[in-house]
Amino acid sequence: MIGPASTDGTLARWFEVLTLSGGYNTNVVLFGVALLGLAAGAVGSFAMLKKQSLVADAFAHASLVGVAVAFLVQAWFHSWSGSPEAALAGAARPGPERNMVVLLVGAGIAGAAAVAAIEFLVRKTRLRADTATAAVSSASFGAGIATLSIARRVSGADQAGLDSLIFGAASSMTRADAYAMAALALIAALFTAVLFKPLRAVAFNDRFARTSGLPVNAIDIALGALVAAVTLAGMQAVGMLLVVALLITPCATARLWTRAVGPLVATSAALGATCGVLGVSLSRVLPSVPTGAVVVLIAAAAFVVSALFAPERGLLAGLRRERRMRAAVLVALRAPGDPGVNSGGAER
Amino acid sequence: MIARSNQAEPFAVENLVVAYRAEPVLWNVTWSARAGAMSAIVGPNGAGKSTLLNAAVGLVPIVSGRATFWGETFKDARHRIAYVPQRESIDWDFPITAAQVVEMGITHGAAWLVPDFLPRWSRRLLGKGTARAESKTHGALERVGMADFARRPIGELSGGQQQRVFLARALAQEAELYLLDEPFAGVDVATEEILTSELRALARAGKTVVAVHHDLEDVADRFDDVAVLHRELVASGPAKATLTEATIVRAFRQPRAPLALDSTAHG
Amino acid sequence: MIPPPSDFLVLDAAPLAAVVLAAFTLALLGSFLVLQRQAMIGDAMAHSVLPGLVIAFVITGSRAPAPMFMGALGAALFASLAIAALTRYARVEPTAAIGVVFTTLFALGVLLVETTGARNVDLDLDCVLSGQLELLFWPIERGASPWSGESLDRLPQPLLTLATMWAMSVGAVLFGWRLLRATLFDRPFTQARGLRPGLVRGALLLLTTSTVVASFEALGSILVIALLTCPPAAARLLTRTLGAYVALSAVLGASAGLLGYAFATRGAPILIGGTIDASGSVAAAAGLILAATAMVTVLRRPVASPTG
Repeated sequence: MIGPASTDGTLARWFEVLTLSGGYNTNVVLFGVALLGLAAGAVGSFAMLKKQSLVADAFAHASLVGVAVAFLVQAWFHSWSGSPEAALAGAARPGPERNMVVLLVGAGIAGAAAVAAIEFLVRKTRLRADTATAAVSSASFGAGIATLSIARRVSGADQAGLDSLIFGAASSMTRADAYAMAALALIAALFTAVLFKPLRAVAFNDRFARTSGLPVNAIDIALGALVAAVTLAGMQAVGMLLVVALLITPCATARLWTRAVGPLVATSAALGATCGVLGVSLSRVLPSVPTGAVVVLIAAAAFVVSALFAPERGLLAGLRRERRMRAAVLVALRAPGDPGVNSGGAER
Repeated sequence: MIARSNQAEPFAVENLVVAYRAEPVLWNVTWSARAGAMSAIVGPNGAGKSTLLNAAVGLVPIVSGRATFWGETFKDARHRIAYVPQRESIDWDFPITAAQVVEMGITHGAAWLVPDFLPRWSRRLLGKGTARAESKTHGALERVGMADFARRPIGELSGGQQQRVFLARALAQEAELYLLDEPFAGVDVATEEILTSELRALARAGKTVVAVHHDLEDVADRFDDVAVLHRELVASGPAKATLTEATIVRAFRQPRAPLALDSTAHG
Repeated sequence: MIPPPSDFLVLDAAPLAAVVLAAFTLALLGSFLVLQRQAMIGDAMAHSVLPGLVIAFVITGSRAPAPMFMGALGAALFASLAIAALTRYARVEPTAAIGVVFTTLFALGVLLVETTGARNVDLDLDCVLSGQLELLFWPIERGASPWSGESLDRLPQPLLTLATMWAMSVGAVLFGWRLLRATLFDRPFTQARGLRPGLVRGALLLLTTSTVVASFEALGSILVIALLTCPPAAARLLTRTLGAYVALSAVLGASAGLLGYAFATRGAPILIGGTIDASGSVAAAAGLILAATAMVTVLRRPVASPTG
């Protein structure tokens, strides 16, 4: 993928980007995605502790139908106020910011409807959470694909807004987007810091939290809203198909290193931000690599390394412990003075 | 039936060590069940009672030591053993009827490949054992008082009824050794009585019964022998004589001493 | 509006047959997946098909069906093995393991598509998401009998693959019926009886994965999940016995395929003036079937069911 000849130049350029000398636009994207990673890492750990990470995935998949419908509604409004030709042209360029806000509102509504549908299926029927999540997420994504095919025909060639939400377009991030990410990260940080104890209680045992007088429903809704906000913000950066990785992977990695909730949230947020910085900077210096996928893959690399080498919960540590135990068993059983045992136990 | 058994005990474990990941759950347990008797394995939660049975029937790997059945390995003796797993390991929401559960104990060899949703006459053509299997299933369900529920999905039965269906499956296997994991857990009084009398009948017919049991109060009434486990074998023998105050204190009240594995590991 | 019969044969017969076959088979096998609480594993497998395809393309340099199939199958199997290894040996929670594995593989696929030039040969993300149903036309000669040997020779390859998967799956479910029922219900008992439940589950998973991969070209990787999960979920709400559940699931799946395709190619032009994406329409139809079923069961149940 990278020509060996250009390796030196690439490294120098990478260093440049990492030290914030990569130009204004690059810095905006760098900060934006790093703050997004921070927020996602913090919020995502509570979603994971509540075993609701995949609900965020359903939210993201279902938002496609909302995005496509919002796009069509927009086009329809324009056709209402002008000639059909103006309608097609209008759908194509109503100004990128306004366009994006409408699409995100549509995405939010559709995503929330999907989460409500999952909740309905789990509470009112005998279906289990995983079945309900997979069914709602995939069926609404199908509806999204079908609606999208109409939107594509209406809009003709230009559909930058649509594609940037589906596949992510971190590089087109504007200063306003970066401010939005900063606000989101601030809210997420404040939320987790101020409500840390109640959140921990709800995540661990919400029945107990309820009996001890905590407003569990309000906390649940607030957490859900934050997860939704992070998901919507992340869709612009890494795309709706991959955004859930920002919510899951850093937290799963952090969980391999720590058990306590406080360090878990902190580690996860730090990991999210780091992966954002590394991913954006790498995608800036390597030719034609998609930013979202690189961010996700770097987070995944951290996870794989941790899953193998983490001191207590890692795969290798577990295998070593098991081998040592087996050896110890054999030694202990052969030890003189242990009643009734000599060589018998060890032969198999 | 008894004549087929050779002199060795129907079920014995020698120096059995079983671990869950790096944590030994059973430590150097040597014990055997008396032929033709009802034995209970008791002990506090996490004492390794169920693990003993699971390791014996090959569901959990053995670290060291062995389990034998009439002196043979489990694989060789499999056809003479009926095993009833713990309630918790089953998905009771699964759409299967009581009769279909019992048939699992009877079906052999190629019969597994004959679909049973075909009309009855076509199944007769495929396998002549069908009618016999049906009457066996019916008989087993009748013995536990569940014949009227044969076509009911297992999820629609009460906990006690489900346990009776599982016993019926074991009965239908016509085995010589019955290994039951917590058969009395969470069942109603009627089921308790049926289970006890059916197991007693098996023992009277010369079969051997080994059950993991959680309730110390009624062990002596229901079982002949008892093995008290607390990761290690604490005591074993005739139920009334073995369950002394001292044994119970040793098994249930004393904290389990940690095994000093790491110190010996490098030695 | 309605095309002449020969147009139907050329343009619609093969895609419709492919959709219905795929939907039937996916719903049939998906019913066992849902029963094992593994709906999300199907989700993960379908997402992980993409990197397998691209890697196979990079290695062989062509879009020949056989290597593509092997690549996708390998990736999907890798995904399910990785999830199993993470949950069993590194003690990662199942939802986290599934989420990490499928997003990672999908991101790898996206990266490979963008960097290896696979994009130039039609292997772009859109076709991965929504399939290429329109490519499944049947180049039959005008006026020729559809049953003539020459016409049959021209049937599109994906349709034949799907027909094979359909036959294999139906055969496996028929002859493995008792084994499936016993091993999926009571794993410890069947293992103690020497029936190898692990082998049965593995074979089922392999069959499911192969069908997912085979359906992929027609339906797209993500829409496959709708057919693996929605019809079984609906059937689960309506039935009490395994036979009824599995059969109804397959029938509902095939109906979703038929209705979805009919709406996309016949209904949509009348309603909104143009065809819509057929695979999306099929997935949405499957979802609507589930939604209607859930509504009916919830409204029709004044007293709690015996199981509670």
